Amino acid sequence: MISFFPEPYPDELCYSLFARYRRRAGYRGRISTVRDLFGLREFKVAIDLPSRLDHFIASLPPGPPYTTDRVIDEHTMLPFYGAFLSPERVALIRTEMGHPSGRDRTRRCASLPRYAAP
Amino acid sequence: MKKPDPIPPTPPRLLVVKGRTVQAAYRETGIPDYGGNPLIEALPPVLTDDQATLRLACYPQYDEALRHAPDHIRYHLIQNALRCFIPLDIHLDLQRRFSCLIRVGYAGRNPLGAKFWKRFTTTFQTFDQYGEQCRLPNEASKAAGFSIVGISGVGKSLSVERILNLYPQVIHHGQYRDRSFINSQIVWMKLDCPFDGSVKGLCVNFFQALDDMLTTNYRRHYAHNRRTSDEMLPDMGLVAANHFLGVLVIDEIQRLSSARSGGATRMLNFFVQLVNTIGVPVVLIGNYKALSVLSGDFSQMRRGAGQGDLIWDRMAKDEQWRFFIESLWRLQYTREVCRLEQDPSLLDVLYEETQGISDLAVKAYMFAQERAISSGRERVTASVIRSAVRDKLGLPRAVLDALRTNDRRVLEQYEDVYPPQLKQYLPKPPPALEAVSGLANDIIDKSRADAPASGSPDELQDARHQPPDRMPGRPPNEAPGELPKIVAGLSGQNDLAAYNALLQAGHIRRPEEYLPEVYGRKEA
Repeated sequence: MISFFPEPYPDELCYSLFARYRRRAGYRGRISTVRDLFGLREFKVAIDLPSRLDHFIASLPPGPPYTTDRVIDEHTMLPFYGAFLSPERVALIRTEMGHPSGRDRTRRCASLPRYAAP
Repeated sequence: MKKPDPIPPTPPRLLVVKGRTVQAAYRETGIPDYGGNPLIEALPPVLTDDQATLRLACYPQYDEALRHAPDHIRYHLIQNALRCFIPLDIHLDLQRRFSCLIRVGYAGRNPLGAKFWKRFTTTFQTFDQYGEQCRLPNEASKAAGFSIVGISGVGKSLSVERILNLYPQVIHHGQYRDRSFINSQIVWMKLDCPFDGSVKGLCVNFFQALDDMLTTNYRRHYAHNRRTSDEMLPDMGLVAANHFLGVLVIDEIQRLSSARSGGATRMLNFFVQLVNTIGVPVVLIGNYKALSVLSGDFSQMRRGAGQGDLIWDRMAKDEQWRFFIESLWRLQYTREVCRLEQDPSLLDVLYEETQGISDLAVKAYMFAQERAISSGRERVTASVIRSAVRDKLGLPRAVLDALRTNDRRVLEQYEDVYPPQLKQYLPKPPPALEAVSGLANDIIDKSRADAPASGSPDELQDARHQPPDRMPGRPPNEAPGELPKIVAGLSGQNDLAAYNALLQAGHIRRPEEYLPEVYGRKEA
């Protein structure tokens, strides 16, 4: 569970929000941040198309104004990538981003190389 | 492969005092300074004294018919008195203080205000035990803490808990107006100082308490075994700031005095820093023993205490005592009805036996009813109260006796009852020999004040202070006053005549007139 989260700027990427969360919490290591946000000890967050967002939304305090779809639409690269992909593919990626899988699967769905240049 | 993180079993809950958790609902405060601050607008409205009294009071259900219940039932019913909470003036004062304290503390920390987060970041870059203290130049911290120091058993902790419970403990924010504000605001938090006064214990308790409220993992992140208290203290400040802690109450602060090497100083310095840099008000509660802790290194914080310190002595035998006992008296389960109006001396008896310590008064009344039921007398009388107290309150007996007779020598052995620093505020023992020596001076002073403008006692008085060459025996240089004229007319008669003449003229009075008065004044 997490019990505070920074206020997002317009079009800010999730990755930046997570980084700001870590800074505010004053965590020294990566593990604490990842454990708070995704409930795992080891998890690599993709910059453009993050996954496991359902878990992140569920760990916010009760009654937050966020849903997985809203986060995807406002704070990831999917709306931009989606312009070049078929609607079925976009829907598939959208479900993958919510699911508790690693980033590799999400990226494979989008036909992107395993590691995007940051 | 990623393996699921094993979550360790949650340790037993350490936090005793737990409050409500609510979802934020914002309402206008009516105070311009507080507008636009989601932290304050989510709090319940400011209470008037009447509302506070109603909300604070706790009075168990009472049914007159239960007087006729069988004995074994009534033994349980009389325990109800322990749940009784009767708001007195001091509780309302305390409620007002907390109300101001929390809101003023928040007024300086509006998370939606301009530059708040910038200050937040710079504060924490320098928030370090050994780093330089970061004083924000442009905005002085408005937060203020205070300390409550009082004799054990007057209900310090209980009252503070009841007052804190007027507020929800956790407020979950999601959205304020059109801005996203995700935060779980902690309005208050009450921790007991660890029994050994260790800083690390307090830090661990703090994180554990937060985890209990918020189901977070702070204890694991910040307070795992390898971390030292030096590392944890800044984190504690950070978390307190992140969650907008409204007020941090530390109870049993006197335990710090027996702390291990330097623990007390470090912890108190940390509290000062918490108030100054983050703006979290800190309230310390302790018995009189804590004065030696607080008045030492803590003078810094006391100086900055905006709400003023509260010294909470036992009740005096006044209207408040009467009100307290009258409210308590209604919880009576003996067969025979005994009203205080029938026998007002019971008020005094109860005061005599418990010396105005409310906790003991409640217990004494409880024991007296128990005695009345078990002995079959079925009526609370002075002798029942006395005998019940003698048997059941045996341990505090020595202290109570000393308080009753104001025996300073005995009291000084109990530092938490009669602190050396507070002597000037506490009732003095009855005047002994040294008082008699002062008696004469008092009489002279008094008669001087009462005497007519041209009064002759002035001359007596002046004579005492004159240099030796003008002492009586030598004729005074000035023109003689009225007094010698009166006496002069009586020359030739004996000394008693002169005394009577002066008495009739109103220049002197009989000494017996003053003795009881002066004696009583000394005692007060």
